[in-house]
Amino acid sequence: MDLSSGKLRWLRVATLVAGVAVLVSACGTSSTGTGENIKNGGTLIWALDADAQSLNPFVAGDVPSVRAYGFLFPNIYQADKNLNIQPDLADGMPSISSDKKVWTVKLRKDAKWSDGSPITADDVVMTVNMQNNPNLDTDAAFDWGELDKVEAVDKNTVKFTLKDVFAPFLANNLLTFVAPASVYGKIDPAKQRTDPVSLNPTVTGGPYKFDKRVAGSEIDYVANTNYYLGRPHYDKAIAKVITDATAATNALINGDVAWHPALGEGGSGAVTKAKAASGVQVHDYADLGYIDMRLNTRKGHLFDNVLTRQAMATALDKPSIVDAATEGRGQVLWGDIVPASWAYDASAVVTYKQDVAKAKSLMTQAGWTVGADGVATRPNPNGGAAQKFVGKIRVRAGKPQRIKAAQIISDQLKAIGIQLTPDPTDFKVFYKPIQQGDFDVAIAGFGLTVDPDDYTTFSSSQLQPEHKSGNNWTGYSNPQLDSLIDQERATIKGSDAETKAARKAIFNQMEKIISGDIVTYMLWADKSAMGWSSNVGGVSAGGGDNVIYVDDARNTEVEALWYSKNGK
Amino acid sequence: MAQVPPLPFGPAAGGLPGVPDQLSVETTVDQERAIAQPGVKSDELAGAPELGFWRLAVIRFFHHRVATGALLILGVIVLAAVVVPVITGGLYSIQDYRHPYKAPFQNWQHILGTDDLGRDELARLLRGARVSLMVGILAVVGYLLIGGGLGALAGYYGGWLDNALMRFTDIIISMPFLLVVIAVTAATGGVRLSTVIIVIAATGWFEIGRLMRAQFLVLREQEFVQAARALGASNTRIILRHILPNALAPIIVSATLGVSGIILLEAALGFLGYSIPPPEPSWGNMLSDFEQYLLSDHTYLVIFPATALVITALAINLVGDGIRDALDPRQR
Repeated sequence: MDLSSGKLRWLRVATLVAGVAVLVSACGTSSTGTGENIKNGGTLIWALDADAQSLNPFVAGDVPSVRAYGFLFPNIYQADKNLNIQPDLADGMPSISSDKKVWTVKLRKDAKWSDGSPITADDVVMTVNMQNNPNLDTDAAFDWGELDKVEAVDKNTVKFTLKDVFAPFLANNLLTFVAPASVYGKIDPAKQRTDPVSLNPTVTGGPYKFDKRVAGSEIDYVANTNYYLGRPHYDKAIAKVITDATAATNALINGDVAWHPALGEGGSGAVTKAKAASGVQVHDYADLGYIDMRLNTRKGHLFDNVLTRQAMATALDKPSIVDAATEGRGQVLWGDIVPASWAYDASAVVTYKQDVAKAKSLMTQAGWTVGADGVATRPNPNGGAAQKFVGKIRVRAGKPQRIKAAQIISDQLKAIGIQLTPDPTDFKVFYKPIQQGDFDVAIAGFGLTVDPDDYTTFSSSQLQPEHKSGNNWTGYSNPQLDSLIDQERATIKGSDAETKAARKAIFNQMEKIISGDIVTYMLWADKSAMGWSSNVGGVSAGGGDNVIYVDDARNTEVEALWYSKNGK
Repeated sequence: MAQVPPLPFGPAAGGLPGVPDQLSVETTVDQERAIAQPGVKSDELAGAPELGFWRLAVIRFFHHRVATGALLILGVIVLAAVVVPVITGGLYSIQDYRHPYKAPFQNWQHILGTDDLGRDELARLLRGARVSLMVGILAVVGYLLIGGGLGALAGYYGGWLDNALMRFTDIIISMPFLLVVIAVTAATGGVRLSTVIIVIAATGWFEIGRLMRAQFLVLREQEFVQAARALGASNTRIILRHILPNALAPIIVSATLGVSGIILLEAALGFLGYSIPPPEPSWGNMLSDFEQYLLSDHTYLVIFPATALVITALAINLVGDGIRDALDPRQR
């Protein structure tokens, strides 16, 4: 999954950290109650899909690095398997002032860094200020734009003052890691990347401590026996760098690694093979990201008319396209809220059934006439020669699912005179023309956060290139949608459940507009998978497949009490 | 060389007023050739059949059984790639994505099965062969034009021109090919086959360039060249008519081997997504999903294009070896 914007990336990073930390933690308090004989000892060897670029959480932005440092650093809050936010380093949920702009977080008093010093409010303040420092040299993109200031009230209390009422603050910002001020606070933000500590962390506070790193080959960890959520059961953990997806899958099947977090990225073949293997447990889970086809709706572009967009949607058989492209590993989407989210409501969206005759008549209504060559034309809205419905579907090279979808879509749209050719492009150059508004159609993937807020994609204040930043590349602007987005972001009620209920009602209205107007043609939400050796105990998917499970974008509850059944 | 024509100049040539000046130089060269082979007396040659260098080479080539077999295979592949797609037309892009992965050798309709979108694998293989061969041949033509031209100039004129051209070659050699492909793709707004061919040609000609230069360096000092120069032939004429034909043998070998190298390179680019965009197949982009297929039951989707690639590259290499042996009898 590529990460569209800095903001989304950091959010994803934050949740990942929370995920792994919880995952590997061994909280003795939440025994599964199944009578399992949990023992300590052994080494957890797991597959890391690329060498970590950095083990400095302020610097690392890529998923393998974040997976690797996730063993080492604690988080303020974490998300459980139902995407509910739970305290981690925090002692209870945050309290919110009556004007809803001041958030106060209490920290646990028993949490300690690996050097024995306590984890305090000063560490949190340093972490936030460092992330928010404009001079920070980083691959992650931290977004504290809504923050006015952060202060330590006392040793265990942190106060965040916001500029506005901002409901996603908990899910978007407070799921962050915390790093020791005694180490990272002393490093110049511009030199974080090159500081020796970036590849050789000295003081950590997560479930594991850093032992050593062999560049390009492995990262070794030892258990942090003083971890505040309880000693991890494994004595050691080793992240083995296996960059080839086939090799990593085979390593899991052969028992060379006990955990393969990126199994789903090997495609349906890898997942099927791992599921069929003995000695392996595989769990599917719904990913928070989505794949969509973004249409340039700016005046004069091919999809500037809502009728044209509806004609396109009516010409396509989305369920079969998604099924063929993902080989059964995608869930059909019509709106931007994915089934994994608490805000998902299948009844809130407008869906389109394939009906070529109806699609043709919509094309005619939109002013397109199909010529003898089978290609639709219309009088050019910018004047001059007639405009032909000929364009390109920009899609990332090396993403077979998306390229397959592009090919089927291209084929089906020919029936109504739309000629769109797939155009696979390397990631390095993929986004630039899109960000400049110079594209017809683009299929891309977006990592979401635990919060369903999709402000940067749909608010007209986030139009790019019209404004400096944002992901609203389609050029879509709708005051009604804008005001709903603002309402949703500013809705905070007495309890988390009430807030969610109130926001969900607004999200439902938004979904109707987004899916009805086809602001972007949503395709699917990814189903991902992780694999464990069956020797790993404490892996609980909470009810079999299709359960939201641990990945780089979220995590399970503390019930992920992994241990080695044979003690090795 | 049964008959040595009269020298076209001086009183002895007076009987042939209509013979143009150009012909004169050519005949001189024939004489030079006779002189250049001092061990062979003209009366010995007189009884031998009249076989030129190239005809001898052809004969020698066909005596080489492996090379002949490889040429035959290559011929079949080229013929199939040229003819069959004309007959089958758009078959390669007809989808049946709801029923993909028909296994090979099960029915006559899809002998090699169908791919992930239910398209006929055989039709795609042959259509892909076109792309691979076209890229290979066109890029080698590019090598010959750029590398051959610059190498000839550098070798023939020497001096500062040689120096400048060789330093330029050094720069080209040190260019990171993939980065150039990415940069050019970005600058031209997308993947196009023409871009791929031009970039391969523009960055890969140096080998032929150096070979050509080496040939010219040696040949320009030969007596027949000095003779031609003494007779007043222009530089262009000496390069094109006197040195070039004598320099061709190793260039042809290198170019032939170059074709297989480029076909493999195109496959690598296709694998990375830098070749012809879909739905147009090339062997490279047919292999690009191979990881997924290796772990599934659809391994034939890897085996067919990979086999086609290997057989073609091997056949071209064997033909190239055969040509080398044929053109350079001393190597035997």
